[in-house]
Amino acid sequence: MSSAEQANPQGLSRPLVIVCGLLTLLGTGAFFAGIMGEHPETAWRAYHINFLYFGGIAQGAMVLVCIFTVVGAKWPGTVKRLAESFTAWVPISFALAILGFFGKEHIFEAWLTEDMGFKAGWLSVGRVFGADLAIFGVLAVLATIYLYHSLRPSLNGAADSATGLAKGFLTKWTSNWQGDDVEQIHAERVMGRVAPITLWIFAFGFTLIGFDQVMSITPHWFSNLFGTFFSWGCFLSAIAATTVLAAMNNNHPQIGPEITTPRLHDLGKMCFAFSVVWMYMFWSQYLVIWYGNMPEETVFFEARLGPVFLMDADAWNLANWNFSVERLMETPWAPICMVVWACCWIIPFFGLLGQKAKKTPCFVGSVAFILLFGLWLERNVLIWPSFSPEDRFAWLGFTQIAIALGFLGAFVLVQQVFSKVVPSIVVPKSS
Amino acid sequence: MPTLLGVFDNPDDVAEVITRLRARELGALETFSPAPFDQIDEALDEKPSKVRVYTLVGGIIGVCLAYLMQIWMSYDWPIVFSGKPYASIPAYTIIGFELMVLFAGVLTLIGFLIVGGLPQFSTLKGYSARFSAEEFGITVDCSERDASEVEAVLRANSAKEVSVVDA
Repeated sequence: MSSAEQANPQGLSRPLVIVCGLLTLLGTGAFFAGIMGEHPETAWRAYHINFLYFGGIAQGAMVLVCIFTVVGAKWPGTVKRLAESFTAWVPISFALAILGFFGKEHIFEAWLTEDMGFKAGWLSVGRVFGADLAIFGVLAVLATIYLYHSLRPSLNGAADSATGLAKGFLTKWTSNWQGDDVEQIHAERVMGRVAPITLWIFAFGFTLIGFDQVMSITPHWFSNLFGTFFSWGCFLSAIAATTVLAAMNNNHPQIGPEITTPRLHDLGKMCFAFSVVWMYMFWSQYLVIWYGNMPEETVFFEARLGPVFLMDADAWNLANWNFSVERLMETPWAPICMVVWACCWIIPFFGLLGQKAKKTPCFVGSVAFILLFGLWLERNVLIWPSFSPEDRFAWLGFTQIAIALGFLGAFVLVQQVFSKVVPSIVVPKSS
Repeated sequence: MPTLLGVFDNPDDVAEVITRLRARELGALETFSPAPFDQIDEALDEKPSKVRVYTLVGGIIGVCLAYLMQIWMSYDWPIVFSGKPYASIPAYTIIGFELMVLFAGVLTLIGFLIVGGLPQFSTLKGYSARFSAEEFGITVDCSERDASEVEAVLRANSAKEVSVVDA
């Protein structure tokens, strides 16, 4: 059995590279101006959110690819390669995690300064950063091993037609070539081992990262489900990003024919089903906290959704319905939370309910894009209200948006280089 | 009104015959296939089954019934939980969801039996056990006048045998 796929180098689109480069520069500039300016905390917090969001997409994409490998999925075809193109960010995300360490005073202010009592050992710099950096590091190594073996069988001969930096890179990547069949079998064996390990480490590791990097910002609050909710958001954002990429490549000369209607339908189904699971996770935690109504538990929800969803007894009373929208709007962060619900659940649910909607590239792509935006806003809502419960626009400012755009530019740039230059996306060989 | 039966080995031929007979409107078709095949499904191009209406109705009945039942029970034996009103929606959502699934599932089964006309004690006209093994069959209810044309279409698409099952 020889490789059925081959590399497909295309060269970068110059305007896109310029735009992404400028955005990256803007973000980097805003970040350094921010941390040296009067309010370093704003820059560090925005950095933290976007680091988690884009790192989550990349790692979530890795998880998606590993799931395809573990279950031996045949349906994704090139969709698997599209998901893979996001994973080049995983090692970068490890580097960004190390950089984030230097902003810890601004992000984890609460548990670094307050007396944490019995939690002091758990929430200590050594424990938190030791564990989290180890998780990011191990996942980065696993992703690199996986990608190397996933792409190598398709790259034979690609170095001959490449030029410049790509040539050296591809030559190195395909050194000691053992023949198509041997390479393919070897690669599949390695991927078959790396994939389940990645999934286990993601499941446990990203749960811990959710606890350490997000939940600990409100250090006295706790939720056992939070880690799962956080890592599910990463996975969902990766599926949405893959769907957006698939819809955008629908007319691509080589990739387009691979984005068949059944594949698009399946991606749409995943966006639909997994956004429901996202809401389900939220609901599962909300329900018990709403019922228990204990101050140490409600504090996190109250800062975001306000009393209407918690203490107001009649808000959900069918016999005496008194859900006050005005009162809801008085809570600074509640309107933004409503937008998050709309983007992450209501729009994907009703938008993708029908079969035709899931099969129309521009429609399913748009809904997935809304979902992706909703999840970015969700990451903001998870973090900002812990710092500024009264200021609903804390996430919206020049520094914050510039840093987010910088991350976006860098992420797209890495994705483009990885999928178009080295090693480039692989497509089935045309017979 | 005669019924003709054609026997085939290949699902592609079956799909082709279905498309041609449909195009000429030569009569009502019945297809026997040992397993589902995409090409046959596509050629048949049937309307979505009515079973889904049963599922929807079952789901709606289930969720409404669940809320009504729980709220009625809460008022019938009032105990205050956590200071919440008796008729609080979030508290009853889980059972609402469960009963929705239960009723939708049960009604789907009922709908499946009704729409499929099951249980059926006599086999369909033209059916034989080999259509559950490895062969395909198509029966066509056509008019006397069209019989020869139907037979020609069946034979032209590699029917192994063509017979009249009901004259």
